[in-house]
Amino acid sequence: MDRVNIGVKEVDEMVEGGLPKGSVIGLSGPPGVGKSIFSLHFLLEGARNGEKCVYINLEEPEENINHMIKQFEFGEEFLKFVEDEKIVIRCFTYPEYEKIYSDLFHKIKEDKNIHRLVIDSFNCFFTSTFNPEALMLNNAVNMRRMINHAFSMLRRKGLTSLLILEMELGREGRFGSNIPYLVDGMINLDFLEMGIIERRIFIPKMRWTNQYKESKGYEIGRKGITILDDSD
Amino acid sequence: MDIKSYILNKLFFPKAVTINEPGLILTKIVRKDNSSLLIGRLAYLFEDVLVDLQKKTVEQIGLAKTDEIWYQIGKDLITSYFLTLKVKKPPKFFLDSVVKYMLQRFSVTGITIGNEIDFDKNCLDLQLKGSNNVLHRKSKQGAVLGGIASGVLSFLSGENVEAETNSYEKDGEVFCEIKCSKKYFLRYVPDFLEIKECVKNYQFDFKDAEKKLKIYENRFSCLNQFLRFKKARMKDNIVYFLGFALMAGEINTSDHIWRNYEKAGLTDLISKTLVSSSEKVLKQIFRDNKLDQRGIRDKVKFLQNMMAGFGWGIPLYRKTKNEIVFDFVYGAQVKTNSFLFYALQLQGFLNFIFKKKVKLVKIEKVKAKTVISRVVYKI
Repeated sequence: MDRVNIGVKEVDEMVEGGLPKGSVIGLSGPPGVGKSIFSLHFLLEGARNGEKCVYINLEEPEENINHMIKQFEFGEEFLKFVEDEKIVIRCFTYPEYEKIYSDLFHKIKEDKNIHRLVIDSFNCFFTSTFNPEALMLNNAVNMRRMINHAFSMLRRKGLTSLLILEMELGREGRFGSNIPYLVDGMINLDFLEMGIIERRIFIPKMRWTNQYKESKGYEIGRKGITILDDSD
Repeated sequence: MDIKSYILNKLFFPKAVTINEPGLILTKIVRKDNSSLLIGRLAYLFEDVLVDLQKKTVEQIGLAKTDEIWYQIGKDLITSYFLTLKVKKPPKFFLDSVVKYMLQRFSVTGITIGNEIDFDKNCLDLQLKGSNNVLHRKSKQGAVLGGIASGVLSFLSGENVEAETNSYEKDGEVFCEIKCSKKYFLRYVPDFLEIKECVKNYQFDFKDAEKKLKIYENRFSCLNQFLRFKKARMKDNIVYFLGFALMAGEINTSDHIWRNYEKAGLTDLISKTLVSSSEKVLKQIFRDNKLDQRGIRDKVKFLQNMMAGFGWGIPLYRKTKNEIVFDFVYGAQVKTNSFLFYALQLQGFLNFIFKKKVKLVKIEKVKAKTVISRVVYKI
């Protein structure tokens, strides 16, 4: 199985060297755990490997994304890749997105040079993509069908997608409860505040992979996400 | 599966599902005989606090009287549990299977008296044995287990059958042997009316609670998170939180403990012990986990997450110069006059965190969109 490195060595080791190439991976966690930062590592690693990477954001304007990138040591390198169009950042408001989403996905599907895609967040993307009335359907099968359709727009050979999901594992609603079943893998970031703030990464699912069964602690600093040595 | 097992599993005791949310731990059971969804609510208490309570009670009033109190507590607990779940008396031909099934089920909460069972359903003689029972393994006082066994048999048979217990150590394990027999003198018959009142106190709209507590799901922790983050672990069906064993029980466990202590005129003892033991436990937790040097804000957050994870409700905190206020959203005991058990433990926790003795000023029920039990301390 071909794999794509995430860019954080210890997390790559948790999944036999990287994410399965061509897979659709969900990245979930509560607000503030570092999902967007995690995705920066994923994009940077792709650019370093000469791959074209696309980051779509429906919640923040581009200047906010740039501010986030600049706070890290790899920020300069990252922005150089953006300048060279190795990493393409596209931020949309909902009205803009609703007008162009069909073309956007057509482009992503057709442009074989795009090897990595991050959607931040898939919750926003999904609800924008589909008719709001259709989402009122109580039929779980219909919901699942719509999510599958969304995924089908992402699945093509050579494209590995990371979908940021604003939810915690186990607390999903009707929309979220289908996603873990339909993605090829789930990476969950979580934190616990018991005297100190502790963050951990869990990988409950990864198809075609004998993934690491335990969680690992991590911290967020100038280097982005750093995995901690759990023997500490 | 034979017909008896099928009936037991499907009709009498189908699978219970535990739902773990910050502040709320629910068990959902579907009974196919009347298609009703029954919900119980659990809470966790520190084993050491209850062991301390038992030991201090012995010091004050002696072992025999302490045993009577805890025997009553055990019997009340099980009666309350059965009433909450609307358990029905089974037909006689089925009694032995149901009694054994019930006693063995308790093993998931760390009560192992159902490990060895010998039951004669004709004369209602029951013998039980188990080791490493939560609470008993440290206090070596088996009365509460005897009360539980007596309660199970009495409720299910429809006849009051008393129990006697014997505790001993062997090869490093603490065993409890229980014998139930109609020949034993009358010890205690639970007041069903009183217990039904307790059960009624805990009836509330669980679906509404689950919905309203959703807003706190990113702000507070639940037990599952403790397990995921290795702050809690299961060993021999006992949950350990940062090395300290917890006792799981129906939410109104504290009600039964408090009522029986009150009847015995020991409210002063239970009040003081809950405060001092809780302070001791939290102090040890912080020491063992090198959290002593954390600031007050971090310690309070720890405490809030701990109580939420234990199912005591969502503890919202605020502090003024002279007062500490905790608003427990869907607090462990929604009727204010019975929140004392939890409020006193919290007092002990706060004594440790603030390094001075705080004084419990009042407990009141706050009228709000959600159910709030407010506890106020003077600092």
